Amino acid sequence: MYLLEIVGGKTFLMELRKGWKGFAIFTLVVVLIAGGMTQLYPVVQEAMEPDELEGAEFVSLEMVEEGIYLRWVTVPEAVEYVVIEDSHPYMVTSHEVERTIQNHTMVVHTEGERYFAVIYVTHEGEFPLGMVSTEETKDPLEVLMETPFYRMFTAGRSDLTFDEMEGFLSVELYSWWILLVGVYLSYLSVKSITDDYEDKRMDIVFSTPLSRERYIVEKFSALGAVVLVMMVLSGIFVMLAARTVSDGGGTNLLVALVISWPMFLVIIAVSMFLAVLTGSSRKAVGLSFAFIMLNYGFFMAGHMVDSLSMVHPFTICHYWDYNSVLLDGVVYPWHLFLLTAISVIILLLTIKVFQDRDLPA
Amino acid sequence: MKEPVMDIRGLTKYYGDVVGIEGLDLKVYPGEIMGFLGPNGAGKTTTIRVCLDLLQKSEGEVKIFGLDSHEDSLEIRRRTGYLPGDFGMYNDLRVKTILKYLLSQNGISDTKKMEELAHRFELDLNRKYGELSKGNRQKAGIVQAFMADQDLIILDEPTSGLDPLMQKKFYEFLREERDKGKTVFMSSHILAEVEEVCDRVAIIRSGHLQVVEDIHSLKEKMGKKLVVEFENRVDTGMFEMEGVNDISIQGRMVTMIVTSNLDEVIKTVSRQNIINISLETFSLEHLFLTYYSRGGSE
Repeated sequence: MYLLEIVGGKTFLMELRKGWKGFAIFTLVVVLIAGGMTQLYPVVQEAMEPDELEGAEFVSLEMVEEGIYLRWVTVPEAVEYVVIEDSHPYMVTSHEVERTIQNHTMVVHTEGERYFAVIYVTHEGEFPLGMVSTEETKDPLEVLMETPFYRMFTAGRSDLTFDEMEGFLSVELYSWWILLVGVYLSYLSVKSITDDYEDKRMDIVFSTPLSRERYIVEKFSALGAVVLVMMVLSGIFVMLAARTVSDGGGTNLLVALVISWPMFLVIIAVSMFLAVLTGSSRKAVGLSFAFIMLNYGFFMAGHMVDSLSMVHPFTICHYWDYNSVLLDGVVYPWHLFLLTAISVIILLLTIKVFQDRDLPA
Repeated sequence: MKEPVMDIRGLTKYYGDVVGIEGLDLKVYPGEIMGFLGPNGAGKTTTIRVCLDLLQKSEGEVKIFGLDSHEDSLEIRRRTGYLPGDFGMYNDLRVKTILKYLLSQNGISDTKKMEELAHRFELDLNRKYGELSKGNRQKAGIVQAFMADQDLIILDEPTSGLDPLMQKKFYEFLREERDKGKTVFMSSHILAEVEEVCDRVAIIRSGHLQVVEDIHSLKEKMGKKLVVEFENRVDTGMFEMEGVNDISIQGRMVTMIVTSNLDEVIKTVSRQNIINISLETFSLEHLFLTYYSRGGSE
């Protein structure tokens, strides 16, 4: 009943009315980014397939006791073959190891990953024939995951793969969703209060029989409703976009986004609290951005550096476990309850501070 | 004696170590227009904002309609119209939308009075607030204060930004509202305005109330300024009597302030040959300046 009163409240409706253009543009941008990112899946998936070295079918490599035995197809017009070597497939720091008229050679065996390219020389010039490596070609995602920097985008899951849409979206969309939505949301939440201060509307608003509690609760609810709509729309768009480019696109994509709602309620509550506490857009926006960045930073760092692994349970991101929905199909209700409870506690604190404060003239 | 609509007792507000108002006692009775006079920073707006629970009081008690200003602030605001001294509205919204929103907070959906007031004060309700001039914004504020037809109206510098014609119109409207039984508590630093429309005036200085008085009685108390030009030089000692103050002489011209005993003074003056004489009633402006120049000790 109270909830219905709030949702039908005059301040709730006014908040939507005065801010609808901003909310609509914000929602559109978020939905388009979410849907657009999903549409990139085929391109990225293709890029993540293990690459064959160029011309690998013309050159072969065999590790033998004497060293590395290279052999290549004979090119009739070739007058000479040049073999160059590097530790990297791009060959930008390569050096020549052999110049021969034969179609094979033996090079000295050394430690580490080595790449060889064979170039054939004719009277017209030099032409690449093919490449070969001492290592098997790796899945690029696997290579990325070996670096601590990229590992943090997996939120601690080592079973992620780009072979499935869920794995791709986990890394490329859900892992920075809090930044995409949270930063602008915190700005809107702060401004919903401080604009009334700074545009000198407080006296007019509170010349009516509106309680300070209702003012805060209705503003919070309006922003919460906007975010809920945004999450549902984004989830639907992601799901539909996934279905157009892959066999995937289950409801878990939608559910994983919708359950981020309680996390954003915490962000709204914190931002409004800071707005009431400081009474200044500049200070409150700065502090709420810092709150989001610190949460995100600690959450990420906790997955990147083992010594920081104890910090991520103290971040709100930790309790939006999108990977358990995407990869395991499991939702942890107590996570949602915890985030909702935190937002309610901060909201009550905001009301208390607001009730005890003088309203600026 | 009627019960006061506003009953302020020992009201004190400190901003940290700074005194906003201190020990303020004031009563506003039903059906009167009370002027609240003071220079900038005297504490007028602070008093009003504490009464409406926009500021927390440090000490004292404010009862409006017999209700506590803090505990019962919602009920008080339901029955009180308020025009702030410095206010804004939603720049991107039409005035009509904003006023309907504010009206709806009072549980009123009928916009008839709002439209009547807008017509009377020549305010275009269909324009966006951000497009309005300073004067038109003030008119929007005035309409806002009166549109819910409440019993008590609190106005903080209501004519700021209005042109003289509109000011006249507003004074006329205020008197009409008073005649309908409304109570108006109005702060101002425009003395002529207070003199023209108010029944009583309270003067505040540096957060302390100096005087609360019916305007006519106040003027009587302040006395009259008598200036006499005699044919010959006179001895001012003859005017030293009860009710005569501030006697000064310049050549054959004598000036004095007469607060009582006027009959005796005139008789004394008439014993001399007079060239010119004038007896002036003090304007509120003089009264106001007197209170400030004398530190309100009168």
